[in-house]
Amino acid sequence: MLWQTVISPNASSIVAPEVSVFLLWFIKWCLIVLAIFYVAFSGVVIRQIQIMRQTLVTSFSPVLKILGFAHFGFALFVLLIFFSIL
Amino acid sequence: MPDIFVAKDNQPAVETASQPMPQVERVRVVHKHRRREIDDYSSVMKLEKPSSNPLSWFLPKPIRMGFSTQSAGESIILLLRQHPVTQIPWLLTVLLASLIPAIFSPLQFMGFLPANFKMAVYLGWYLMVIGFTLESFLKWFFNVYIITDERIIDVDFISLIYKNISAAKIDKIEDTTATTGGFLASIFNYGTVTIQTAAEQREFEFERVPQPNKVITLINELILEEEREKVEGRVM
Repeated sequence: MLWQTVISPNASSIVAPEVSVFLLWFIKWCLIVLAIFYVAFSGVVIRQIQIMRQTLVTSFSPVLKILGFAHFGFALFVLLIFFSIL
Repeated sequence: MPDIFVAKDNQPAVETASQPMPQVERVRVVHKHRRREIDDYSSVMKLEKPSSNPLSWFLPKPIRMGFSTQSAGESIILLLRQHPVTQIPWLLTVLLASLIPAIFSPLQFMGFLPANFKMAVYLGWYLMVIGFTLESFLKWFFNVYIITDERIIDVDFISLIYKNISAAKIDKIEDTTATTGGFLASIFNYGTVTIQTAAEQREFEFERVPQPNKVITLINELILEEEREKVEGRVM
């Protein structure tokens, strides 16, 4: 397959140590950049929940606020995980 | 005697500053009748119990609910969301997306990656699934149609960075139409209510809301009540 050839052109089998360092470095930074964007997105979600809570006032709004912050926290956690394990 | 000699006597009295004409005081009588409750004139709402469930899609006389542009004395009569059946596509997408790692992991699509990279990809994937779920839920939750005793309001939560709120007074409503089409819509009794108005926004669409016939009946009753208020001179 083409992607196998790109990753390790001389390998007969696909194993992790044979993956080129450059490709891993590229994947790592792609994931980290995506995670950074995702943290920003989850921040926008929090802001949007705040605005919509003012637009429509319900007894469920505090739960949504907590959900928004939990989502933001999880996104931050994933970003930190990416930094530590990759 | 010729008029020329008596014309001065026949002239009407001219108002002068020193002798002002007696003025008639116009007293504006304001009839302050008590505003009628919705149950007094609506056959639809008379049968409905007040709803306190904020997650419902058909909330008659909702308790502990309000909106930003609500004026003093204005009360919400009906709050609508899209019928939950219409949310099945994104729910299925979430279910399918959650299963994708489990389905594809035996196929070794990422066999060339070290274990920590695989874990990172899975974590990222599930994070995006959670984000999609939250966003879809928020869109459903905040995309509401509100009928008050004064206005109809359409709150469109189109995306995370764009929202649109339109309102029209009840007395500006000209025409209402309920459209129910399709297999699921007939079974679960939901449809689109189209409201033509003489307001700035000419058309309101309450998309895929439950019990469209009830909504139409309620709006017609509100229009009648509004006209009755005008005839009786009731003050809002």
